[in-house]
Amino acid sequence: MTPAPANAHLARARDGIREALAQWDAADLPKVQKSCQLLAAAADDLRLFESAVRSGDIPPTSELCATLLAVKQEVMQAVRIVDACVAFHRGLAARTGGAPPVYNAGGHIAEETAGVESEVHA
Amino acid sequence: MPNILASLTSAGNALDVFQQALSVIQNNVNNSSTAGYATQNLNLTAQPLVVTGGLTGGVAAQGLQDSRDDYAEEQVQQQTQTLGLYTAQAQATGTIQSFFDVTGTGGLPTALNNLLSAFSAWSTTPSDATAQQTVLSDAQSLASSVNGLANSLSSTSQQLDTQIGSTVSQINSIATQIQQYNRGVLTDSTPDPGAEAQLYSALDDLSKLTNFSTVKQADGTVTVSLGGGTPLVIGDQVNALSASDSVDTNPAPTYANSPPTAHILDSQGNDVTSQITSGQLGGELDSRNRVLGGLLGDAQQQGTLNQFAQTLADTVNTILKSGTVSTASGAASGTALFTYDTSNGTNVAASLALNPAITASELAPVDSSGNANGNATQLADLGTAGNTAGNIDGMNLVQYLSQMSSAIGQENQTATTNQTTQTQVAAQATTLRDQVSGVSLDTQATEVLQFQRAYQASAQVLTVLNSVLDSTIQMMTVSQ
Repeated sequence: MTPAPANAHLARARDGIREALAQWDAADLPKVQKSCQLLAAAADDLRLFESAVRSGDIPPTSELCATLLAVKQEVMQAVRIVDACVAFHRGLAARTGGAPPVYNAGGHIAEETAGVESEVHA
Repeated sequence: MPNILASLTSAGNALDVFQQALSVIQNNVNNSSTAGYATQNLNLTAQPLVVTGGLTGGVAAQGLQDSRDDYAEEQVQQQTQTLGLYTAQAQATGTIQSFFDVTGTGGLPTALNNLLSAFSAWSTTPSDATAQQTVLSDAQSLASSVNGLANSLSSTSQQLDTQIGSTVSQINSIATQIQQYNRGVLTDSTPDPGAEAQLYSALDDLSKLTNFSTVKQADGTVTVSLGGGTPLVIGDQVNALSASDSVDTNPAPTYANSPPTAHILDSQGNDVTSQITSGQLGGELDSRNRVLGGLLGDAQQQGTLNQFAQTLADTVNTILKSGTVSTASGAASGTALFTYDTSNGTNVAASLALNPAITASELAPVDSSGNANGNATQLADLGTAGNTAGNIDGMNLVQYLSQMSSAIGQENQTATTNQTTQTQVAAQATTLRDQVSGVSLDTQATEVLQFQRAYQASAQVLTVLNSVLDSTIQMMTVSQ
């Protein structure tokens, strides 16, 4: 893979993350699902970029490193926003007396993981 | 005949009940933008119908029920508290950061560089009167710059003290409003949507200022406690807070004459500062005590600015005093360039001054080995990378000053980023509150589960994104 398309993967991933954050509306299910799809596409792009770095197709530069750190900051922002929603609904479930969720090693609700994965990769 | 009368009475009652229901709807519409108001519903119940027993059925009003969800309210309050913390931190650290010139074109870093340049020029012409005079004037400028920074930071401390006092007054004022609500409830237990709206509006306001928790008591009153459990309002009693400045005495102070730290006391005089960890007051206390305390010192630490000032003065003075003013036999020993308050380690930066007793000809360029410019060269090298003289925590004076500036810059950047994100999170909590308020979660279980799955899916993808980013950043860092 040539550096130019590989760098395009990073740019597309960043755009996707930004678009996902812009689309996110915690009270609007279709928008939440759309954001999730955008994030999944961004993850795919980022994986391709990572492969290019691993194979040596992209030489490491301080500019690229700074861009990656900036992308990470945007991801951390998204993590906090989404985590707040997850925590809110876990609290709701606990309050309404539902069975307490069972978490797997990845920190996700075990019985939902299969469904979640199919949703992510659909 | 009696049955017809009973039927008419029943129909009349029903009309009256529906009139009440219409009034409740009208009230909801009127209060759609009233702070703290939650939609009210009139509970209607069917009356027993036993024709042979004379019970004519109909409908009756069974009191008002509001759509407020206490869990959702608490979530909004918690997120608002966090937003208050970050906002106050961003504001205070922004002010502090403005005193550190990061452009390198002014302020303390430039004053230090100028002095080091003056030492360098002097080292090439040790007996030149102009070079000597430049050293003195640049030393004077550096001392003034350190004093100026210390004074600006002290002024910020005082401004924060004023803000803390103002925030505490606002908290007490809101506590009094809640006390009034409780008194009303104790006098008349009939639900009053207006009073409830005022209570929740007051709690929303309080959540901007400090962290707290609420408990609704069996008698209908609301108990408000600070983060650590100290009651702020309990029944019709208010535990008013006050702000004060004092030097911590437990543990025993290392710097007894240090700048005082800000404390919050309850009405009994108990120190409740540690219980206030969020909200505007939490942010103000953090900036006042931790950030400024770290720079200017407190009972347990000298403060990075004082450490810098003392190390600079001690290092320069030691070098100069170890040498002589010329290579001539019997030449006079060197004189200290700087003076400072030696009785108080936390007052060094504010008291740093050019030694009033020194003259240009008393500068000692000759080192103890007799090298004509040995001392001057040593002084010029104080800012050179790898030089160990005048090091603090393994950094030379220039590096240490740079690290001090970048640390406060980092504090501000973190607080600003947190504030930006938390603004979204707090707005989102309000959206979620509105979404679940007045909704039966049991009947909406399917929708709730769909949301939960969608959030969970997003969280999982973000975990993947974060992990891929981490590994890529690591590869980049290692390869460079």
